Formats: sequence, C-alpha cells, structure tokens
Amino acid sequence: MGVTVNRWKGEGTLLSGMLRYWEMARGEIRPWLWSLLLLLYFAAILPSQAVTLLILGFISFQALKEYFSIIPMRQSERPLLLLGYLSIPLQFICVGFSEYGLALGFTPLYILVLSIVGLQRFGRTPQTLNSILKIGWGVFTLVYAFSYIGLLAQWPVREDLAGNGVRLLLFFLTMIHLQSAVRFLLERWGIDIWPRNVFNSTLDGMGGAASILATGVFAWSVGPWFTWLEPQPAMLAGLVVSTAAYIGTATVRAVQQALYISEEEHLLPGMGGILNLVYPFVYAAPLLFFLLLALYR
Amino acid sequence: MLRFLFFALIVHPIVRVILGWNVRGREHLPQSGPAIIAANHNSHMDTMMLMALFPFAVLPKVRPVAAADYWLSSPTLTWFSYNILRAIPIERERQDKNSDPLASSVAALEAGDILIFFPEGSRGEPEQLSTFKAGLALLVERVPDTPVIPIFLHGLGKTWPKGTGLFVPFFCHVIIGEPLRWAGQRREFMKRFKAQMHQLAAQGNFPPWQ
Repeated sequence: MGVTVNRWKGEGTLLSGMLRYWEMARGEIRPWLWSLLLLLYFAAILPSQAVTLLILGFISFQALKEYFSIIPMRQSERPLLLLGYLSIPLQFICVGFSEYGLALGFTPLYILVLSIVGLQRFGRTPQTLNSILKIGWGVFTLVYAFSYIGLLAQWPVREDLAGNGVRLLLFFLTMIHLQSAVRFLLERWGIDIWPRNVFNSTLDGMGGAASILATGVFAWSVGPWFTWLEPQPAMLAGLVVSTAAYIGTATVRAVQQALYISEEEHLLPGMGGILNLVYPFVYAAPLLFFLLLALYR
Repeated sequence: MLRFLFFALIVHPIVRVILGWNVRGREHLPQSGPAIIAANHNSHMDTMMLMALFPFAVLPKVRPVAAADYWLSSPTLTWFSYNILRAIPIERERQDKNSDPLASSVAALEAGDILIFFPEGSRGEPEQLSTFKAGLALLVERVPDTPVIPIFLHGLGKTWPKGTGLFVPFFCHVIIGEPLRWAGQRREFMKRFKAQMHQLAAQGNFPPWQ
C-alpha cells in the first residue's frame, strides 16, 4: 500500500504552506522559507524585469546550493561545482536579453562544455562521469528549467501580447499552488497519494489525478478571464502544468529517497525545503512555455 | 563600530544567505562570559561563523584565540586580528621557554570574555576530526569554573578548506553540545570532550567528504 512521505512537511507551495502553518508552529520548518515563497509572488508582480530575474536567480541559487550540499561529491570536483553556480548568472542574463532562442540554447551547451572540461580535468573515469551527470542534472533542472519562469514573465514570443507576462506568471503560480493544495488536502483527509514506487500506476495515484483535474477545471474557468488564453487552451495548460508539477514533486521525493533524506524528521532541520519548493516548477514552466509557443506563436 | 559593520554587512550575509546555516542546540550557547567555545577547525570561516552565532550585544565579549604565526604574519592581518576580530594571539611554537602562551587567554576569561578555541590547533583535513591537543585542558585547568561548550561544524571544510582560494558555497551545519565542566583531570577532560565531539558529529550523519 502507499506511503505518505513528508505528509505534513514536504510541500513547499504557498497555499499548502499556509494550511500547514499552524502545524509547523513547533518550529521544525524554517520560517525563512515562507519569505522565499512570498518572494516568488513578489517577483511576478514587479514592474522591473531585471529585479524579477534577480529574485528568480536568487531562488535558483538557493536550490542549487541545497542540491550540491546533499549529493555525494569528491573534494577534487569543487571547481566543477563552482562552474555549476556560474551558470546561474549566465542563464538569467540570457533570459534578460528577451531573445528566447539564446535562453533556450545556452545552458544545454554550457553543460556540454562542463562535461568535456570535467572529463579532461578529472580523468575519464566512471566516478567523474557520475559527478558530471549529478552536477549537470542539478544545473539543468534548478537553473535552466527554473529560468523558464523568467521567460513566462516576459512572454517574449509575440509583440502584440507583450506586457501580459505578469498575468501569465501569476496564473502559472496559482495553478501550481492549487494542484499542490488539493493534493495536500487529500493527504490531510487520509488519502495517501504517493505509491511506494511513485511512478507505478496504482489507486494511490488517484489523489494526484484528482488534483490535476481540479487544476484543469480552474484553468478553464479562470484562464480566459485572467489571461489571453481561450477556454480550451487554458484548460489544456492547466492539465499540463499540474501534471508536470505532480511529476516534479514526485521526482524530488525520489531523489530525496535515493539519498535517504526523504523524511525531514530524520534530518537536521534546515535541509530539503527549497528543493520541495522549486521542483514543482521545473517541469511545469518549460512545458507551459512550449505549449504556448506551439499554440500562440 | 568597524567590527559591528564587518559582521552586519559582510559576515552575516555570507553565513546566512550565501551559505545558509543550520544551528542545532542553540540553547547551550552562553549569553555571557566567562566561557570557552571549543570547535573543530576546517576553514578560516569557522571563526566568523562561530562569532556570528552570538547576538550583536554579546559580540564585543567574544574573542577568538588565533595562531600568532598566521594572524600576525602581515600588517594587514595584524590590524584585522586586533581591530575586527579582537583576537587573542597564541604561539603554537614557543620561542621563549619561559613564556606563558595561555596568559592572555586566562586574563580574558577572568575579565568575563567568551573565547573561541580550536583544540585541534590548526585547520586539518576537510570535514575530518583531527587529534585534539591538550591545550584546552591546560586552559580550563587554570580557570576551572569556566564552562566549555563543544561545537561541531560541518560544511565549511567543503566551502573554503585549507590550501585553496576557491570559495564554493555549501549549506553548513553547527551542532552545539551541552557545556562540559572541569573535573580535575586533564586526560579525563579531553576524553570527555573528544567523546562529545564525536557524538555531535554522529548526530549529523554526514556522508564522508573524500
């Protein structure tokens, strides 16, 4: 039967966080994570694009740092980690140029170069390859994929839709949080969502399906009113975003389980929070971007 | 004032934002002196992080015991040691056999200061506990009522270890143990201190850093 991992503590999104706030009054959750969540919404409504990207880059940095801190690495590979951090300003500068082709292409190329440098510098061994894969995965998800939120905020694809990025981003954030909140409530009511193997299709996954459908209905009803999307594309966006958020959360839990840090109770307080906050976005943001690109270019 | 600005504008942003810390057992930290903070030593940042644990009101009483051969090796470092850190220099290799290397530390404790002491003597291998030298017991023996607060640090050895200029941010952990009291025997005291440090290290269950 299913297990509920981090039943009260794993979710990092705003609404679910508010719901569990009183449960967390014992002080086991870092209060500053709240400020990070609010910062994300704040970034969405800021008129200054540069400050928005700065805030997104800061959250990306915090997530990457947490990831680098929990993955096993070797001392000699510290320079590679530094190069991993260096990708953050570079990627967000590319996003800031409003030339989305540059933003889409930069980090994959950077990771390729990083791999070549790593293999040349630290030897062509399985351990080096392993480390490069781990660093590359972190940079790809927590920097590159996360930076798509910046692209959504700008929506640089069509000039006649310029200026609508703020609404689109708020819509996107709300969809993610709604999906998470529905899932959280189902968990709270005793419906276990996460199967033992999170990618197995079992009845335990019904809670996740319900949260995805609820987000789709929400997007269908609110999307056309709040953004330029028509009802059907809005619903499609809702379904895609919530599915991706669901998979993103499952991924971070799988990573944490693999590293034996799935239950925060067993951790020193202070670890595991930011990845839970960021991972629901890392698949959802690029998927929404490409969906809208296909529909509205 | 310079000291306050240095900690408020440089040390705290680095420790809290760039690195991020996770402090466990904060209730064991002394709020007034005399007291000795005894920690493992992996990085120059250790001193800053330990000092940043204290509120600004207590900071003037917090003084690190620093190796004179390093911290007084140039005019800039000397100025920084005395004016910003308010360090108490200690000779690791005694030039004069009749000198008392612990005299300044004892005087500071008698004046009610909180000393930061690294019983390993030097920054060792990153994220590995080295041998604890008897200097700590020699100091406590002379001020026997002073509590010794053992602190285990993890993460700074990855961030900025000995022998490299490369600063790579990692999340850091500070695990503070219960105060130890002098019981009359140097060997027994160091044994208890060592056991507690290993116990604090085990709480974190950190994977080896090879």
